[in-house]
Amino acid sequence: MAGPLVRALIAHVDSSFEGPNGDYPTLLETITGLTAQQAVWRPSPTSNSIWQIVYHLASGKEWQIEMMQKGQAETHGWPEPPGDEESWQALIAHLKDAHRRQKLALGRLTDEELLKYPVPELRRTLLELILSSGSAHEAHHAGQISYLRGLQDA
Amino acid sequence: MTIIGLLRREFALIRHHVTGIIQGLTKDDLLWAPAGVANPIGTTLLHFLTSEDRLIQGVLQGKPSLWEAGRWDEQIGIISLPVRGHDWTGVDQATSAYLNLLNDTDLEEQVQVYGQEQARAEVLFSIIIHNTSHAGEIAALKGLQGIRGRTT
Repeated sequence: MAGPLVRALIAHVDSSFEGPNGDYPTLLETITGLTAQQAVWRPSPTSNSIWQIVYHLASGKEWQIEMMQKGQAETHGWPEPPGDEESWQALIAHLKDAHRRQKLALGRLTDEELLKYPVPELRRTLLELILSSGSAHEAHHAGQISYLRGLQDA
Repeated sequence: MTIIGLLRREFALIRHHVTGIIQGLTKDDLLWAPAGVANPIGTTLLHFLTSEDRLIQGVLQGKPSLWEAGRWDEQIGIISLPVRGHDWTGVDQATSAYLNLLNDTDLEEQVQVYGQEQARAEVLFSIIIHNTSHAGEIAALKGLQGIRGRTT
């Protein structure tokens, strides 16, 4: 059974992604009901779209899983979205699946492993690496998505 | 590491993150709002600072909020919005001081929060998510003004 630190971390990860939490929207709530057209909209040519943010967050979860399982991981960029409904729904499904696998990978860790340095030259513990792209990061981008929705009256 | 250690680390990370986002904002940036019903950055900032203040001081410790005790409404007026170096650091320091009083057993204790019973840890983690969610909104609003979301 996972230790208290791992269990607290999993609860934290869940609270920003799907709840329960306070009176603010979770990441899943912010993307619920959006069409592909709304997801690719951007307020200015240099802004990121909701689609790109969701891709970034799914990639962040993949990065965490790789880091937990292999001790190293590749970062992903911010590619241009294809724009069709099928791809958008596939991306949402991928995000949910990555979240499920992220929790599974977390659940296999011990509290002690969280405090080790997976990449010695980074001089950051696994916990610090997870937090750097974890719940707070996700909540930050959920806030951006909320605003991008609001600007479209969505 | 303990769970309170995890919380202290998360709070330290979000302080760094939010500071990076609000650093260098002018009064005009704080008051600017896009067309429609969106809140200006200053309103969002004021909302999450006072929410944290009310939760940490009032709900969790039964004390007057820093906002009330410092009579900030009289000092700065509701339209003069908080900037780093004034009331922001007070909330930051008060939360850190409170976290330093706690251990993991305290975190499991059930507390009443606006009529609902929650574990103290849950309340504290919710502040992290609440603040960073609004920090994301602020970053989006900065972007609309042509300013980079976070400079550090």
